[in-house]
Amino acid sequence: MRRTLIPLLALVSLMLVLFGSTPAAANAYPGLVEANYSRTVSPSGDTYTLNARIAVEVTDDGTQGRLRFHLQCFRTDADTGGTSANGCDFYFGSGNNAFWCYGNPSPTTCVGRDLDDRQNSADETWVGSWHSLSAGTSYKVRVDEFRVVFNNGNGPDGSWHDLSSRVHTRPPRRPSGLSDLENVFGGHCNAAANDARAFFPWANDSSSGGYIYFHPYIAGVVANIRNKNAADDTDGAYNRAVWGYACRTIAGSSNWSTHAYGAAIDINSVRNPQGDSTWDGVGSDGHNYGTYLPSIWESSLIGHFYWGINFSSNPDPMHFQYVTGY
Amino acid sequence: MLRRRTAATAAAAVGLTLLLAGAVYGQPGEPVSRPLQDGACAPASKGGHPPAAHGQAGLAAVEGTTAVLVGTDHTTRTLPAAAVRGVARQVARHPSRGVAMVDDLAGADRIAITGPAGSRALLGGGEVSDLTWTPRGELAWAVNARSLRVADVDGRSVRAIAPPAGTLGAYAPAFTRPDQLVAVIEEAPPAASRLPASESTVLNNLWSYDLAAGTWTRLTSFSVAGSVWSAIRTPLVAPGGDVLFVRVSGDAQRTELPTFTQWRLHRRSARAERILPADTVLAGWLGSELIVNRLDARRGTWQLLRSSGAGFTPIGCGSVLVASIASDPDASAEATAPVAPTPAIEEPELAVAIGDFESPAAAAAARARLADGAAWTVAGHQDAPYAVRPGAWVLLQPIRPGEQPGAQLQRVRAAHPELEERSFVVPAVR
Repeated sequence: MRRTLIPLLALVSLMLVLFGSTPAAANAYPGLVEANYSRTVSPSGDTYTLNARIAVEVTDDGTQGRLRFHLQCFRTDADTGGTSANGCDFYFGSGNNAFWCYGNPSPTTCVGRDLDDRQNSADETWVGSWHSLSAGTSYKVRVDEFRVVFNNGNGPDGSWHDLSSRVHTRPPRRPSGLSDLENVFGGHCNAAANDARAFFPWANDSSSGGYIYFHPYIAGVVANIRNKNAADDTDGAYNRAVWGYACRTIAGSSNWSTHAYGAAIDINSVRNPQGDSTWDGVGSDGHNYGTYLPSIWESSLIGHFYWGINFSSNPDPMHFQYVTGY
Repeated sequence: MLRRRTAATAAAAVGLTLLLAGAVYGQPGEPVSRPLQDGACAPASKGGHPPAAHGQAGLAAVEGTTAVLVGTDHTTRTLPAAAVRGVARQVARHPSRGVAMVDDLAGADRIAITGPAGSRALLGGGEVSDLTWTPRGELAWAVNARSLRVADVDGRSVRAIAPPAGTLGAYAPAFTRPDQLVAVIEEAPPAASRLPASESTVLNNLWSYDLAAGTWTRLTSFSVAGSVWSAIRTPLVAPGGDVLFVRVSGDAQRTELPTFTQWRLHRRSARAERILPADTVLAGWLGSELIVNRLDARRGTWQLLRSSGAGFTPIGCGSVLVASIASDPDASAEATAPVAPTPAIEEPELAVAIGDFESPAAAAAARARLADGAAWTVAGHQDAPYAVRPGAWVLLQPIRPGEQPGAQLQRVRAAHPELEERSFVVPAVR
């Protein structure tokens, strides 16, 4: 994604393969976890592999989610090294074995259902019921006790496995207008406005990075963003300079900056000063990441920040704020 | 980052400033606010015959999204004003020219004018603020807090005035004579000159501009250092020709309310007059009465108060020299495409962190001093890369199920008040 199109294409292809025939076109799979379970049999030396993937499947608007669990069977020929799909029987333990878990801030409450066994297939997907996702709430899915038998009983019997997704947190409600901002974040320069922090490259113009301070209300979405950066290995996309909490008024106005509420963060400010109407995506490592960072920061599933480049009369591309209408 | 400090420290600093400033007017050191009744913009009244767009003494304001005229008897009546397409952001009234209104649109704003000659509109050239009439009926305003515009009496010619060389912007013009104005100049402190200007004020000073000569002259010499900032808001010409203004100053890294101080510029000498309650700026004159605006952000209103030696008396609501705080069409929500998290995305787990410590041993020693030390783990940058910088260590306690991160942080601080300045909510993904 960041250096060439190849990883992106590979990712798209992988997602299509992972989730079988017809996942909704724009749905996302946050918290996806993949596991491979392999067994080599004698005397052929062939290796049989069960690939399992589990995720919270989320609609493109982020409001609905469900369990998505996908199993595939493969055989790798010891002589040729080639890998191909292989027929399996899929079995689950008795009783409830698939769980939809939710909670704030941790998904500790779970509801379960019993997944159906399936025979003679190499590729099967199970989905749960759609659930409404609440802002600020975290979700996780897991499947307990699943196994496969290869080749309709003529191949190896797999062991029982459990698999859990990672947590997906729906970004909390983004306030609109000054009154709403104050009700959610408290008054300007209030004691909680810098109660949360995260390490960022180029924080406060330090080339070695440092802490950016913000309100705990957006700690989850900042964590989402930094997790995404880590997953994509893109800390190099950040550049001079990153700023967070600041108790200041807006220039030319008696209104308080959203930074005074701990509700805004500026990134890559030197290359993206206020007044520019385009985004300069060159990172500190010299690569041009395009709009990779803004797309994450304003994604409704990850950061959900409002991007200041959209200020229609005075764009501010460095600026990301967790409020609209102000 | 130092997080907070008692307000008394700031008040003492301002008091010292007032003493150092020499002659002090009013009652320095004593905030003279009188609390408003809950939710009140009273005792304003409405109704009666609508006032004319021009003539009749009063103070024009925007209450919510409506232009109103506050009379010398403190009654409030709706002003006839041209219809706006967007949000009525600010209004200015001239005794003979009529009412001008900032029509805040998504994109460049316009100025809607209603007067004896009917209604017309001017293009604002950007984000318009600080609309004001000159004494002889020209109209002036600021664009994007960067430059000034002055339109002649019939609006056919608009003159652009750039800020002084080497500064960042000019706004809030107030005319001291028909051919001279004072304005707030946005300056960049030397230390920040290599970084771009952000949306926030760092340093303001008052300058005067001679419209005939086209030259700027500095009037004040406020300075800042470190994270301290100094803003000037609402310059207002007093009946005798002095210029009153509000200086707002604070430390950007602290969580304490900045100080608001009323100053008077007499010729080229500025003196602090009195401390104002937080979020109080100047509005204008009703006869000989000085009227101020106070922001009630929680209710989304600007309160109007009459200033006197005894304090401040509420007379209604509405913004005068400052922008109304109705929702900004320039920052309206737009649908954004979601970005699918990659398969490798980690859990966005949060924790309370105490730190930083210079070594794992120092962190462990601090943990040993905590009564609930077993609930904390020592973590470095490799363990929690977003919670702690390289070369430092923290103590981490995961946010408990069902607990709000901020609430758990407050519980930690209540149990360990000595750690208040060293505890934070952090992403704790490993």
